[in-house]
Amino acid sequence: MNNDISVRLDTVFKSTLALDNVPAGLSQKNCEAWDSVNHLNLILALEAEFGVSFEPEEIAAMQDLDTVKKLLAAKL
Amino acid sequence: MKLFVFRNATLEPFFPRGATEFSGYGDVSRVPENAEKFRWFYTLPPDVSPQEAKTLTTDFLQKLNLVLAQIPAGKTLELTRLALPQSAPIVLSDTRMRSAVAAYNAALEKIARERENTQMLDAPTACVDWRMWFLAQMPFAPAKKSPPNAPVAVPAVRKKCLVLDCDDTLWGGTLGEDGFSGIKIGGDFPGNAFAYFQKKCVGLAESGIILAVCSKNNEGDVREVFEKHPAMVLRREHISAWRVNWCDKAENLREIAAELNIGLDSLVFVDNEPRERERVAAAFGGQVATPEFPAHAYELPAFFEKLADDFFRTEKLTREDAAKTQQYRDAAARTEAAAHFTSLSNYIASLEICLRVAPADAFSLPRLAQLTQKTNQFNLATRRRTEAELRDFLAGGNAVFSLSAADKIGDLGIVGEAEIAFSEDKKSAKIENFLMSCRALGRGIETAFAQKLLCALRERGIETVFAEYLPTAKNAPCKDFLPSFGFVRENTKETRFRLDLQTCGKLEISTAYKFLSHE
Repeated sequence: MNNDISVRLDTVFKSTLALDNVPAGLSQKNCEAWDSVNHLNLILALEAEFGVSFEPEEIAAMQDLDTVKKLLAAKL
Repeated sequence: MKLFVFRNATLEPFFPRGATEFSGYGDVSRVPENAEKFRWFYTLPPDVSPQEAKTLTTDFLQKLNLVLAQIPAGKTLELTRLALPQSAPIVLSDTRMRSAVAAYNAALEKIARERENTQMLDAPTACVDWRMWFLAQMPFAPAKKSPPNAPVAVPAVRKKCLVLDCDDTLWGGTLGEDGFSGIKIGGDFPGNAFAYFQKKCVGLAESGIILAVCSKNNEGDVREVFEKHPAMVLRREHISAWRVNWCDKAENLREIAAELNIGLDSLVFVDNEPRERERVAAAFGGQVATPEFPAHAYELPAFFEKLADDFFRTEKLTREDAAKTQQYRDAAARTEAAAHFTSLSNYIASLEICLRVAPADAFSLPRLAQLTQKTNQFNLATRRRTEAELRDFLAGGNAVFSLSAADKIGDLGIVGEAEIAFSEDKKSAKIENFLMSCRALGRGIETAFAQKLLCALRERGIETVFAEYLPTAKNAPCKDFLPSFGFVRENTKETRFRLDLQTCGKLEISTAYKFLSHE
């Protein structure tokens, strides 16, 4: 994943989850703000930012930052 | 809190986080006093059928009237108009949907004229993203603008019969491998997308289209699904001809046409298997239509619209169509409550809520495990369980119960779960988990469920019941639940409560709820 994409991804996470920074290993389990409503907001924001569309199975699987990166990279 | 939104679907992504609070889905039991402003924002589910539209909009208005009585006159109220669903009716002269929406919007406008501080808001113009509807009950997507209104296509010749395959066409999965309780129909995605497709097929049947089933399966298995599976929308009475066997599908279609006394060119064959479609297309030189089936379940709505445009839409019903339609309508007739309610309890009583408490079984376990994973608000202990953990819990001599709910508006399916552990001497029981899906809140169902459970425990000879309320960031709505039954805190700091069933008096269940018994 190139630098530009990483920066845009970070921005999406920061603004959606109201975080100051995006730590490695961020996941639904260790982030209070990443609840079901914000999960939906996150998907919508990622799709709008990168012009991609995720499959329902992917949306369910995107429970941590690494998986999000991996699935997003596969579409770009 | 600045704005409080009454809603019946997922709308959070359309509002800035923080300043807005939302009611539960279809919940009008709470009108917070500290809100500065209120918004009424109900939407028709995108899968609404013409006959449901009136029932639903009537229900919306009854709910709105309950809310109106409680909002202080000085506070601003915004009323959002209802949009027409994007799919055109099968019979274009069918105006039931249009009139239901128009009557609802007219009723809102009347309220806006008569009440001070009331404003009308236009209906949202965004269009549905079916993925987001099936996954998250989001009725439209923020980014998707509605396409300009194109004239609705009517095929030159209307086909007479839709022949349906079963596995991965009417439900997800393979009946022969996944079994009765393993196929995906109803509930969450993708089952809800297949239920949507079935519902649209029922709509076709009601517009005079004959439905037939042609599937490579054991006939008994398929019939059992049509007769007994709780989530099936299509039922035996909708199907006029059956060919469930291991024979060549082209031969089966020939027989179906002969049995129904219609030409092969009147058939549309829907099957997810390209090889079956090719075989049928080749066998009859293209006489039987074999539309391509979508790769993803969330594309079924678009697939159905194309099916309707190409083969089934019509301006008007013929006399025979109408006769057939009437039969279905009689069979499915629902009573319409037109009264206005002034109290929540009267309204709840009018809903004809039916509840069913049943021990967990192979069919309900996956859903129950999922409920423990997903439910946040009404969840006393928030113990997340996997299916395997629930099975282990049951194997230890304990009990897990499901609660299903339905009302005159529709079937909610399984919405509640309770786990009960028994002491060795069988004199006391502990409620390990007790939860209710947010879809079902605001109707008093959780109280009726708990009362029923406590009664059942008492009948079993249980003397003391223990339960816990473990506070989380989200479960404040059930903070006062246990004390409302007479549970007392074990000591002031403890999260553990106890109820003495022998001295707690009568546990009366409101007559507003009808309990269906289970075997």
